[in-house]
Amino acid sequence: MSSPLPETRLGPSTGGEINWLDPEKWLDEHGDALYAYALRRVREASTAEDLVQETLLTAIKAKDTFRGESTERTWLTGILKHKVLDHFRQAARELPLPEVPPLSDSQQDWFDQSGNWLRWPGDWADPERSLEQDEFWHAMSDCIDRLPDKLRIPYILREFDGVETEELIRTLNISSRNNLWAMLSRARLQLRQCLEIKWFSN
Amino acid sequence: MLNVFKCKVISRRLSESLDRPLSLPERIALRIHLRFCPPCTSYRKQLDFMHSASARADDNLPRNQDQSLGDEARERLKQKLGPQ
Repeated sequence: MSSPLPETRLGPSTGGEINWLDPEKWLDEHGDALYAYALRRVREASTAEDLVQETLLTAIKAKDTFRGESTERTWLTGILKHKVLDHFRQAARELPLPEVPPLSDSQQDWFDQSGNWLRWPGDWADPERSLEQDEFWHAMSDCIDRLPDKLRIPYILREFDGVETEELIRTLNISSRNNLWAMLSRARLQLRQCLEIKWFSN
Repeated sequence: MLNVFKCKVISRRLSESLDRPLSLPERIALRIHLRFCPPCTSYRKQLDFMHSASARADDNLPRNQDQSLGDEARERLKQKLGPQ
């Protein structure tokens, strides 16, 4: 998300003009993408709409700081990313994510008493090719959505957005690094199993 | 078997390797374990795959009807943004 794509770069390469930035077009051209981004994270339509609104208002104010080093979309998404983190920070202050119980206490366990896999992870044939297939992304979307909030939110912020450990525990008001890493580990185990069932076993 | 060589512990370490740098002893324990453990080796590959898929998920995940701004929401936003 942070890497600019030179070939899609907008605007003139010389001169200080920024007249290609047109807030009215933002909503038409990027509104849906921004909304989907927000909705995937916060899940609630009205909250997602609010975040898109705040993002566009902030972008209008910060218009002059856009340097054309990234695409408009990337720039707007960067602003939205911060709004989403602010949203979770605020929400976690009011209601922290519940602690994750130790793996052995949870209903869904992946290991037996002596710490061995209950079921071995299967062999995923040619996973890289999946990335080019729409059906794979449907399975991925479904599997992400199936994660409970307390695992889905840390997973998305960490793996989609690349938020680092320290910022993540502060943002989500998680008691310790260890607890965060336990949540991420659980999220990955669940996601793995779901993808195997929904996609890689076919 | 030593605790550090159990698959349950190894799976957690493999996950953590995506979130923090592992210490030298942790890396050595992983390497030894993976040499003899097919399921953990599969899991490691799957973690790497999910990691790279997730990094590009926003550009690829499907967007269905209810993940687009409806006409009403779009209108509301237009109103609020107003003439600048």
